[in-house]
Amino acid sequence: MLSVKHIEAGYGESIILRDISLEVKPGQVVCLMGRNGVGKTTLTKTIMGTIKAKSGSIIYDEQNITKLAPYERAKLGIGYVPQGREIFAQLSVQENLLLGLEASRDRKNGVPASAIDKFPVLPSMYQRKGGDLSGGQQQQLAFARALASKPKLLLLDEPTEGIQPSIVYDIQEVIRSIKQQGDTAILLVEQSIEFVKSVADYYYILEKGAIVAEGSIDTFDDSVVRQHLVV
Amino acid sequence: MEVQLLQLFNGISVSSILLLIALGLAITFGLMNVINMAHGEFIMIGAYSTYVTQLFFTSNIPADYFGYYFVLAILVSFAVAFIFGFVLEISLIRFLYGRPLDSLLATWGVGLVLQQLARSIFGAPNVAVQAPAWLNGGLEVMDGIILPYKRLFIIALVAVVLLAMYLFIYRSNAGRRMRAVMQNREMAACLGISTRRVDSMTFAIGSGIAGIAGCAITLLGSIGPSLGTYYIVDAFMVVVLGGVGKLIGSVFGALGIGVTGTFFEYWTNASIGKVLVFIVIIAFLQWKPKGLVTMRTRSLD
Repeated sequence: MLSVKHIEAGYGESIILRDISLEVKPGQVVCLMGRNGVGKTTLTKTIMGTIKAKSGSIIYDEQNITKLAPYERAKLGIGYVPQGREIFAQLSVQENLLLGLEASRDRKNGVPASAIDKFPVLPSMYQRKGGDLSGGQQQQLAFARALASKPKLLLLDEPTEGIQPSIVYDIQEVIRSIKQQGDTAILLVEQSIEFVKSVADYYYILEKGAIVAEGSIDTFDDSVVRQHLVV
Repeated sequence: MEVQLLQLFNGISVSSILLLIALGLAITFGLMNVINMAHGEFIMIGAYSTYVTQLFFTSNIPADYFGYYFVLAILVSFAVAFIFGFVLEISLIRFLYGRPLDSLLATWGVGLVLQQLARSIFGAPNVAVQAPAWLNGGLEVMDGIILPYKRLFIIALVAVVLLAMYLFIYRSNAGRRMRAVMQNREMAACLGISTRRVDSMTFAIGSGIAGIAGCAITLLGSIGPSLGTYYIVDAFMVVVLGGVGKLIGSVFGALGIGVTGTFFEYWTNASIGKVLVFIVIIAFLQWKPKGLVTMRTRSLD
């Protein structure tokens, strides 16, 4: 599905990611973990294409996408929920959702029910501006917007960060249900060890821009946590 | 009483012209934040397109149909200015996003080049565009008050352009893409929108609307290569006073400047009236630096 090979990337002259390789198989949930500032967001941005890789390659669906622009990657079926949600503040909730269809092949039928049904609170807010929503509501909107194009790969960058517990639970349930349907692979950046253990198939741990530990989720135990994640 | 009414009509008429020349700028400057000093030259291009359309009609089309040329001229003006804008965007403007001072200088240079181009093609002296017969004369609403058809036509034209722009920007898919890109370029790209294409289309549309303004201006008098320079300051004033980024702001901005300007000029004289308008605008912007209509929303963090 997605395979990142020996990626090096960063901002301007400074290099953040060094020789990163990872793989996401179809239908899998792969978690990317690590302390703050180790390059998790940089990696998702590099996969999405908003940061250009300096070397290495990104293969998606047997196609080399390393040189493609972000919008071309989105059209190939990569959905993205960025850190900080990035809702279009001046646009209505409905318009935000419709923009999620831009990458989709069939736009005529509107936003698919499968994207909205998971977030029952959204339809009641269609006419409100995206910027007037609370953080948790915005997060749900960003999630639904990413699902609108029925992506084959979802990049979720800390979807539960800074959100009230009940909505965190809702979002975790949504991730579980997507996994159960099995037709969307997920690369999830997540801090909650408990949730990762319950949902992931595979994990990678980043430290100083390099992958220091990886394995299937049953090898993810307390010693790994203590060594790489405890502050 | 009649005089006051006539002044009000004059004010609205001036506002409609101000608004028409500012609408294109409301897109290129208001939405895209490009300080386009060549905006006036796009108006000039529209005016000369109308002139050429008229020449074409007088030499190729039977005189009976001459009256219709103006309708076609509006479309031609839009198309020609649109193409010029499109070319300017892909050849120059796209390298200057986020660099206001550079784009100010570069577009000013482009403006001078375009003026010289017009001078080379059409000659330095002004040329007159003959208005179609159905726009001559006026509507007599009461004793001594005649509203010229040309002025009424421009007001109607502005209303139509404004409505079309509103529908395009706020109701169409392309308009939604446009607003998304202007608000959050990176996220729009991540959703599958080609920001390059949206940028060039948006700039071209803004330029095309300037072309329509140029077409309308041919009704007011003769046109020359430096026509645009008379209007560029007014256009920026309307957009800045109205509030950058909102279409409705430009409407209020134009009405404010047009109506108060006309009354100031009536009470004093033409030059003092202009000075008073400037003073009021400066004072107002001290009080509300963001203009008449500002965007309000819960701040995003």
